[in-house]
Parts: sequence; structure tokens; C-alpha cells
Amino acid sequence: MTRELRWDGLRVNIPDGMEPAVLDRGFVRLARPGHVPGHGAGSGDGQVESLELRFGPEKSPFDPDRDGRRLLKACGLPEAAFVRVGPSRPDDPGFWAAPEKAPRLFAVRMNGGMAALLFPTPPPPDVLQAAMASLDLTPPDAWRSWRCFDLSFETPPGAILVRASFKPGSFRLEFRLAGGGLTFDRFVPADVILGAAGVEAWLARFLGREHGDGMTVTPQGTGQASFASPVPIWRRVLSWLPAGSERLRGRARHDAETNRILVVTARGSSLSEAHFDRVCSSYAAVDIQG
Amino acid sequence: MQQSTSRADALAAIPVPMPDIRAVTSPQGLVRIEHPAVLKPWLARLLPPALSRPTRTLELDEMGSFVWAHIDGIASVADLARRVEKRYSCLAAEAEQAVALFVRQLGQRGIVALRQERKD
Repeated sequence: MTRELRWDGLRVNIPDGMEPAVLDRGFVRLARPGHVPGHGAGSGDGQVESLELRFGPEKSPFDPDRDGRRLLKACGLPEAAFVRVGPSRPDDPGFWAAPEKAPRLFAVRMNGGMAALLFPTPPPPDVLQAAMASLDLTPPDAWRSWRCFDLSFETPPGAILVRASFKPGSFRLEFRLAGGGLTFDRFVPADVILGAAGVEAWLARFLGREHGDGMTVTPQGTGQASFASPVPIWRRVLSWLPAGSERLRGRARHDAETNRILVVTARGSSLSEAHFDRVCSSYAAVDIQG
Repeated sequence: MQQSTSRADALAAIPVPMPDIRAVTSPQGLVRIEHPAVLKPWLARLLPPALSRPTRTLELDEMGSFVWAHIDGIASVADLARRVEKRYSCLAAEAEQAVALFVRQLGQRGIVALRQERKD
């Protein structure tokens, strides 16, 4: 089964047998379960043990002599040099590989960004081709689609990943927006967490722990509820003033089919109602990859 | 020299309930385990042999009770994790981490011992 990872603007297919080992801003490591970085470059059967991707928007066109030096050093190849290999696809200006004799680091420009793929050993051509063919970058000033583990959601333009936590049973991804923030929570197993209570009762307790008392929870149909922070009296009187960064609103949904609870929390006022609706409706638990 | 346990070894370990523990299941299906307290070796040497160790009680939540119900001295940590994954629809990695941590906590309390299957 093809498994697609969409992370911080990157899109790539996860090679068979691998899973995300590290997910960070501008960095992803895919590896076979049990693989320890630095311990054995290969399994001996031609299979690739790991793949690291470094990616992000370009500040200026990639210069192998300037930007390439930093990249080579970061990838543990300080003595190597990039050689231009030529366009990997008709629509890109070319890509580079290093070291020249046994290339295992590949850098490619696309959509105003750079992506570098690092293998522990020179990869088989079909593995490299599959990774390159599935590679795509979305700039930070556009809506970005995210897909990792069992989560799928969208972030609005300008959202910057601040923190990602994947504790068993509790995933949380936090983003910074101009004048506010966005948090995606996912809890499993929902049937145990909720017990006999409905999602509204659970949500009230969850919000009390996270944000203190006073949050208003409103049912929105079976298994769904919205919540918002109280509006101070002075804001009700001076309602024409723009809302501050202290404003909280969000939605929670109990997905009975996947046995998950999904919560979106928006802080501040920079997210319009239309964008907030889009963020909430795009948040879903997807079929478990792999 | 103590070697760190690999992930494969940890998942292959088989938890075996210790003989001097007592587990009671409530009508709600939750398990309470009574077990002798684990003492520091130097303290255990000081205590008279005739003196019994104090008893501790551990109350398990639903997931813990579910895992405990399947600890039979035959199922490995990986087997238990697959049951948790199936029952609670969580990711395999989540189930493995949660079960491995739970079994380790049971081991630290002296409730289970871990047996490694020999590969002949």
C-alpha cells in the first residue's frame, strides 16, 4: 500500500517497510522499525534502512558552492561536493547529488523551495526514482495539507509549526499564526476516554484542565461540540474593537468509526470564520497507514 | 557488562505473573492487584526472615485491566500490543509503547517477571 506523508509543506511517499521516526520543522527521518542511526548503513539485502529529508522555502536560488557547503556539513559529508545531475522532471531546473563517486545526498529545487534527500548508502535507482517522483513542496504562504500517522488536516497560509508531540494515545500539534495560534489534538481510544459520558462532558473537563474555568461548551449534534472563551464585558460594550490574542474558540468531535476524539483550538482573531470552518472540517482521522 | 535491550528483544519478552501476587476483578471489569512491596536489597537483608513484607495495592484502569487479562505467561509484549491495537483501534507503535511501558511498570513493582524465549 502506498503511504503518503504530508508534513510542513513536504509531500513524499513513505518507502515500503519504513515509518516516520522523526518529524520536525523542515526535517523528516523515515526508517525501518528498530533501525538505529549510525548502526549499520544497510541491511545487506539491498533494502534502504532510512531516509532523511531536509526541506524549506528558498531564501535565494540554491548555490551549491555556498548553500551546498552548509547542507553537506549538516548531512555529515563536509568533504564532498555537489555535482549537477540534470533535471529530474521536465518542470524543475535540475538537481544535485553528492558525493560524486557514490551519491547518496540529493538536493532538488521546486515550487520556491529546496528539498534534500539523504540515504545511508547509495540508493537503488527505483527507490530514488519513487521518492523523487512523489516529492512536492508547498510554500508557507499557501494552504498546506498535512497527513501523518492517522491524522489529516489543513493549515491556513502563514501557519508555522511550533511543536509536535506524539505520545501514545495523545497527539498534539501546535502552530503559530499572526496574532494567535492553532492546536490540533487527537485522543485514542475514545470509548475508554469518554466512558459513559458524552463528548460535551469530557470536553468541559479537558478545557478546565487546559484553560481553566469559564469556557462555554455548546453541543453541535451527535458527538460534536464547539467551545469558546468568555467575552469580557468591556469587549461586549466595545465590540467594534478587534479581538485580542487571548480569545479562544474551537471544536471537538468524537469519531466513533475510528474511535478517536479530535479537537481543534484557535487562539486569537487572525483566523476568519471561513478559514476556521475550513480548518475544522478538514481535520479527520484517516485509515491507519501501512 | 549490561547491554541495552533492543526494541525487538523488548517486544519478544514474555511477562509472567509472580506467584505471590493476588488479582481481583471488580464487577466493572477493573483489576486490583495486591503484591508484596519491593524492598531495597539492603533493607530486605535487615528484616527478620519471619517478618512478611508489607503489601501494596495497584488499581488498573480499563486498558491496564485488559492487558492484565491477557498476560498468561505465553503471550509476548508484541502479542499483547497487537491485542490492544485491535481492541482500541490505535496505531501499532502506540500500542507497543503503551504496553511496553505498562509491563515495565509491573516488572518494577515485582508483579511480573520477564522471560525471553530462546531461539534455538
